[in-house]
Amino acid sequence: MGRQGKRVLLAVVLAFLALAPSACWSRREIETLGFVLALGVDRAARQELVQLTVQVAKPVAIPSGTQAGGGGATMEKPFWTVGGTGRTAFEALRNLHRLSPRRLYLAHNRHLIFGEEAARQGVGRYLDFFLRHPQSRRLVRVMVVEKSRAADLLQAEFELEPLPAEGLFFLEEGVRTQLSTGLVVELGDFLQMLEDEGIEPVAERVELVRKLPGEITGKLERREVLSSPKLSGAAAFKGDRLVGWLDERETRGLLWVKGEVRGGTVVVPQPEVQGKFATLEILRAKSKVRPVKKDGKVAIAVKVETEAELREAQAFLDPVNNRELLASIERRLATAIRSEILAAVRRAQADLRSDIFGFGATVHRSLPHDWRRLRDNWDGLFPSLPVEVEVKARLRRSGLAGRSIQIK
Amino acid sequence: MRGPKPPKKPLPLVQAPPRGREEAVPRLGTRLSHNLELLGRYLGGSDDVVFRRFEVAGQPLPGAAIYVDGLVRRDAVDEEILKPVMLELAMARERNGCLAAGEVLACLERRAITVGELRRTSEVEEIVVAVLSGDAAFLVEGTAWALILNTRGWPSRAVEEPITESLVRGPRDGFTETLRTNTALLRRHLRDPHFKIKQFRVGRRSQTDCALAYVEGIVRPEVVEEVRKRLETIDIDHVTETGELEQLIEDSPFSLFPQVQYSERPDKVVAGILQGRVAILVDGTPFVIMAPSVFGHFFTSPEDYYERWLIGSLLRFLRIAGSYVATFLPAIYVALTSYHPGLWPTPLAMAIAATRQGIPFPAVVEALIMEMAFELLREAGARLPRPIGETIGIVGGIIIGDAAVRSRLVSPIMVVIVALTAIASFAIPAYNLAISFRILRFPLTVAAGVLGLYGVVLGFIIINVHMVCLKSFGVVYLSPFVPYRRNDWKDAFFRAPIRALTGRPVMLRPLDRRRQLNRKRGGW
Amino acid sequence: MAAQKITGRQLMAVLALARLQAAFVILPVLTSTRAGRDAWLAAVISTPVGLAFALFVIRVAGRYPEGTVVQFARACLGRWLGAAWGLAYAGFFFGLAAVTARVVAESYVLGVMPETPLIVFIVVVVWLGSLAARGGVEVIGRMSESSLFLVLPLLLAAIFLPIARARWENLLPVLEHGPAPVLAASLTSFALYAEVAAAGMLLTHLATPQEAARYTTRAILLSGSLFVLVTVTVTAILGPNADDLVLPVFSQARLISMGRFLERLETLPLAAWTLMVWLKVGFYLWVTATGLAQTFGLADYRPLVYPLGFLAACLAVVGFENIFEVQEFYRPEAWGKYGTILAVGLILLLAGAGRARGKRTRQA
Repeated sequence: MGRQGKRVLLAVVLAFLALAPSACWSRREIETLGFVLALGVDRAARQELVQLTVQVAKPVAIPSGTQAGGGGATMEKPFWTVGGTGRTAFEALRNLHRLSPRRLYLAHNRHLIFGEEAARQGVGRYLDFFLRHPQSRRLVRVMVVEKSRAADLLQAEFELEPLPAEGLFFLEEGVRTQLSTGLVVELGDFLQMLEDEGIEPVAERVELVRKLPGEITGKLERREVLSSPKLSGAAAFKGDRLVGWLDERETRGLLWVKGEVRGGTVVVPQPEVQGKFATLEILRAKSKVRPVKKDGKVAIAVKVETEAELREAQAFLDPVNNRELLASIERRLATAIRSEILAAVRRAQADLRSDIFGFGATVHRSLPHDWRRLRDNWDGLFPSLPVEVEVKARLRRSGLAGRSIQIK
Repeated sequence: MRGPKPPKKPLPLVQAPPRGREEAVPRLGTRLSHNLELLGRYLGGSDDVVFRRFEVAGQPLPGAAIYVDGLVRRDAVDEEILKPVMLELAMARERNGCLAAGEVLACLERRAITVGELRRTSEVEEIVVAVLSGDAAFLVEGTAWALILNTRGWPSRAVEEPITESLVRGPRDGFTETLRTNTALLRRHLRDPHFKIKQFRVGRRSQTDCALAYVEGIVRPEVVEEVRKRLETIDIDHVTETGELEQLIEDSPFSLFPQVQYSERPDKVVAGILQGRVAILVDGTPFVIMAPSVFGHFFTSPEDYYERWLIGSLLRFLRIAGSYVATFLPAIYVALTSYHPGLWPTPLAMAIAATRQGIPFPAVVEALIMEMAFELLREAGARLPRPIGETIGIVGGIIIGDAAVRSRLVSPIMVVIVALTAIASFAIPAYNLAISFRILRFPLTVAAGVLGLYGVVLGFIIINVHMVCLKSFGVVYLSPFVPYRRNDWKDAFFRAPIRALTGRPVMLRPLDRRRQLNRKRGGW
Repeated sequence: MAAQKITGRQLMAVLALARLQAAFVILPVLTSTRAGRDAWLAAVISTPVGLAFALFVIRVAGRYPEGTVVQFARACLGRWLGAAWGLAYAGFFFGLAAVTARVVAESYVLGVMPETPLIVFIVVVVWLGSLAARGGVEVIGRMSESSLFLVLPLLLAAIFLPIARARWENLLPVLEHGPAPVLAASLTSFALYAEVAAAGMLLTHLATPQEAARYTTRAILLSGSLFVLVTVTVTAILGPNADDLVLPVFSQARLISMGRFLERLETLPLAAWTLMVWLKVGFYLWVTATGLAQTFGLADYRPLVYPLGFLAACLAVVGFENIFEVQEFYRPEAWGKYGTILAVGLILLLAGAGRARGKRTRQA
């Protein structure tokens, strides 16, 4: 045993002696890296080139707790947006090292942003790099900037968040849980939608909101925020090409079908009174999409079940004593949801002609034999595919107040 | 003739007498002057050895008492030996008449000397060792026997609360430097007649008293035999601390890990003995060692059992987590900052990058410097008197640390890491194991600086290979994890309720496996 | 050397970890390529087949309790044929040790440290493996047993932490293209069970030989169920097109994201995996060295370990030009076919010869 101990000791010493001088190939100290927080892809002015824009964090300029307590926020922007071109995405990224003294590091990247033009011409050619690169992850969110370039979005800022990329992330979380009017799409999901049969990809849709000049915000010595991102709606693809947009209502329709509504509000006209509205908050929802065969033809049956809570009633309402009223509100909620779904289906079938719901995929799963027949002509069949929607809505509670304010 | 205790035979472990002495086994003769001359050859020439000559009262019989001044209780020699022998025997004689020379000793032993523990011997070596150990030797003209009287008593520390292992709840007594006190402390906890204390001597010159303590019927006889065998092979002139003994008998002297547990708490040692282990006590040190010891023993504290089981389990878990932190935290920090910055959460990555801005050293060098500085501070503070030690702590920890951060020599996060590592290493109850971990983090940090997390994993593998190879007196060091013994898991990572701890640890293979025999189930 | 003993649990740990190692990198890839979303069915099918083979190995080896299978072969196949058998057997595991070292090195270079030369990883892992092999079967057994405590939680974390992203409908439709691709894929995954033949070297070291079958069964069931689990989750999480990923489990662990602070934990399964690879390399080097020593009648296998380790490292470096060749090696047409034939054939040959010898001794 003593010999064993000596041998291990010797082994350890030898190992370090052997490795120490030659080592440290992959070492890169954390402060020498440029953390890319968001990455944008546009088509360059010369059509055949890719323009890549990255938002790199400036860690020293990020206001920390101690500084904030001191003499106000710095004038320095905590990020740096820089762009460059290349024939491929990776070449463009490497070309950025002409400008960046820090090695660009992608592991903390959260967003993959496409300009509208690039998206319309097809995103497939850019995606491969993000799959291959060891630092890139499938958790990256995929979005398209409407009527603008990705580079512009990467310049936009938030009033409340020093790092726009982080702000965008929180915006996504907020939209997902508070509104459900915008999509949150990760690269992994996007790839699956792109590769699977019978489903077309969707991505997040971002707009730029420009501030009116003269609108004063906060302290005067502070930099002015000129434009802010706004997350609403969805970008619909067919194959890898952007084919159109879904507005907020249609987006939620899509989410209802996918069963991904996590929250959000539905405003319904209040029964028995004119021009007054009740607001309901969605608590949870689930959906079931099944293909049904009628006389040899395939139709889709969508069943949505949801629970909601009353948040606001403009006119007097007493659900405790008036169950009929309650049922009436539930019916109106179901109708509202149904119309959202139908709006989304109509848009996808009539305008986009793209199966963003994955109806084809459900046929593939449930009726694999029929799918073999339908697959090749699915694009032609989808616009006229009958879709039946059934919504069950339940109003579970009414907040802290039983009845609403009764004005004498 | 015999007292209640049989005369103590010299244990086989007694060291051979110093070489260069001519007689094989020198024995006493019947003439006192000859005997005194014989003993004077060993003991003469030292001014602390007292040769007190006298005449036995009422008899024309010269006698002598030999003792080392300072090692005996003065009043015991005066009041319990000299006074009765010189005065009171006269009264006895008036009743019984004159005694033959041979009977005097027996008569004195029975009637006069009031010392409790005594024995007879005629071996010179034994007398010499006894006198040097603090006994008094009593010789009379006309007999070849000497009485060895236990008059031991020397200035010693009282039983105090152990400094290195203080508890919130639990007995406050700790071992002292006196072997007899220590065995008494053990005996007070354990009145089992099977609890045996076997004494022996180690040290060719120091003749240090040592003792094995174990419970017959619990401990494996093979284990006792193995301990005894290893102790017998020791040939050294002087042993002061159990630490030295430990290094002479442990299995792998080149290992970084302690393979024998020590304690200065009687309750802890008694618990160890009752698990089926052997305790080794050495005169002159309050630290008692226990063998065999496995890795898990070093994470236990008596408090685990005195507090309720959930608290005990959580504390133990905390210590184990602390040991990982103490060993791996700097290495993992270095690996993550220098090789895998992606593993930090984004805000933390930004914070670290910001604080490392302008630091001249790579993370690995920074970590090594800071860890070294911490070890230096600890070492400087440990040897100094407490008030100065505290000053060192303040100057080193606060002033230098703050200045180093302000002058951008090190990053504040590194200071946090070093402090955390230090605190975690102090959470391990066994000081010797904590040192092992503190040493290990240096090669691990270097490995992390060379190969990132791969290096850390390889370091972990090397440590693990070494640990699975270790054994302590025949017990695999990583028991009960390897080899897996489900029964012992009850008292390993966590401590099961006392009621569930019905058996002794199986890994030590005790003869008596049950702790609780007829425990009534159910509540009351 | 023969005095070294391992417990039943250690036997289980050694066999299970050696199997899991392969299952977690390579297997999902190759089954996915053939069977697509039905890969998990292939995994389910191959487990009982693998179990049957493992029990067969135990049975054959159990017929010669006084030695290893190599000594058995020498005893019943005669000198020359027995030596050839031993060489083939040792060579099988030697090759596997080299490939395993290469695969872990490739994954490190691919996944986390692209600038570091491949050879560094290979040399270090083979050297450490040789250390374990020299330590003997006790060290390997105990290390495996202790590693199990670390490896299993890490792998389960890699499987279950990203489970929220699973789309179970990805597993549908079942058997879209009929059973043929699934059966072909299960044959491939069985090739990795063929490595269980290494158990033939361990039996004589088992402290309680009567428990061999029980613990081998447990090892196969443990690794088999984890393998099914990982195939299911990879398909559900990464989609049926996960076959284009070089390291699917690694990719899956990259999806871990908990509350924005536990993210990008792919290095954790990689760490667990390094442990497994090291053990496997050590184990197979030990099998090779012991097998060779016994084939040539050497008293001690230990002098062979370092030279063999050196050769294995060389083979790992020069044996493959690029990662495509490594992947190619594991394809059904290559390793799936020849590995299986070699391992199964060797054991069958031994079983036949053993039976013939048994008859002969009974007649005599």
